[in-house]
Amino acid sequence: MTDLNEFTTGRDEELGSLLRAHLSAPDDAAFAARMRIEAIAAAEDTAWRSVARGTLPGLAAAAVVLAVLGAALGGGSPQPATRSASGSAAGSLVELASDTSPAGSVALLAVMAY
Amino acid sequence: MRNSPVTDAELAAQACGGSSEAFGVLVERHAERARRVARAALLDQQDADDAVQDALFSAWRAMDRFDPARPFGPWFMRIVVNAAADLRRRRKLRRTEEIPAATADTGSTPDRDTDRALLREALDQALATLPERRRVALVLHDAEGYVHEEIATMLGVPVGTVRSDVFHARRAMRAALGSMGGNG
Repeated sequence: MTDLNEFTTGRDEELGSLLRAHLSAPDDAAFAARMRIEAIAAAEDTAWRSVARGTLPGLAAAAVVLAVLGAALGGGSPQPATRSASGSAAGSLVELASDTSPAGSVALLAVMAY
Repeated sequence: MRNSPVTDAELAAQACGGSSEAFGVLVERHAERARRVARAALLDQQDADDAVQDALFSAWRAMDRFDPARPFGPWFMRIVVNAAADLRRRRKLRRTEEIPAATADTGSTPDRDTDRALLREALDQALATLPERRRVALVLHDAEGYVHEEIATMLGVPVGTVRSDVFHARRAMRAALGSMGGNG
């Protein structure tokens, strides 16, 4: 071991080699392989979280838009299913529910209360 | 991909683009070195392994801020050093400071019958008596080959401090190893 000069920049190869051997462990290669697997898992987990963070609000927004569109289209035109269900008890309820007039609302509330 | 000649810079660029596989290869390439540095800092293999694991999570989270034009090794090693310091704080590890040189165990051990065991014991004791920053600076420089400027960035201290740390650590190690009658 040489180089006891504070201002030299060279490595002490002998001490370095001793330290490297001392601080190494027999299972270093296995450890490195395990860290590779953990790194990939961590990266992919983070990626999925990012996708979920970006996607879930989008899906929620899309659901709201679809609901609004569905309500607008459903309220603006006669509903064949409602027509075909006429005559049955269920069909009457559906007709009442789709009736937006104040009288229809009162009738629906009365039926629900019954 | 494991034995491919792809450079760190290429892998880092891929990792920055979101490639988990490239990131995994980078981590594998630097894991052994990171483990030695973490062990030098924490003086405990299990803690060192935990610190490296913490570091790889931190490194991935910071990949979008990494400049692939710069070398990955020193950047990752800085994260490892910080992870070791964080772990030490969290677990309130005070082993180094609690083992004054005068009271360090110099008695017999089952392995004292071989020169190799004597050397390991001397190295353990010598490292344990060094302050953590000097220990890490010495290992980063002499064992792992980083230059003073890189180590200064990793440790967040001036270059002159690194030079001084390495100098004093070497002197202490030489004295410790010399006192056992060889290798000094």
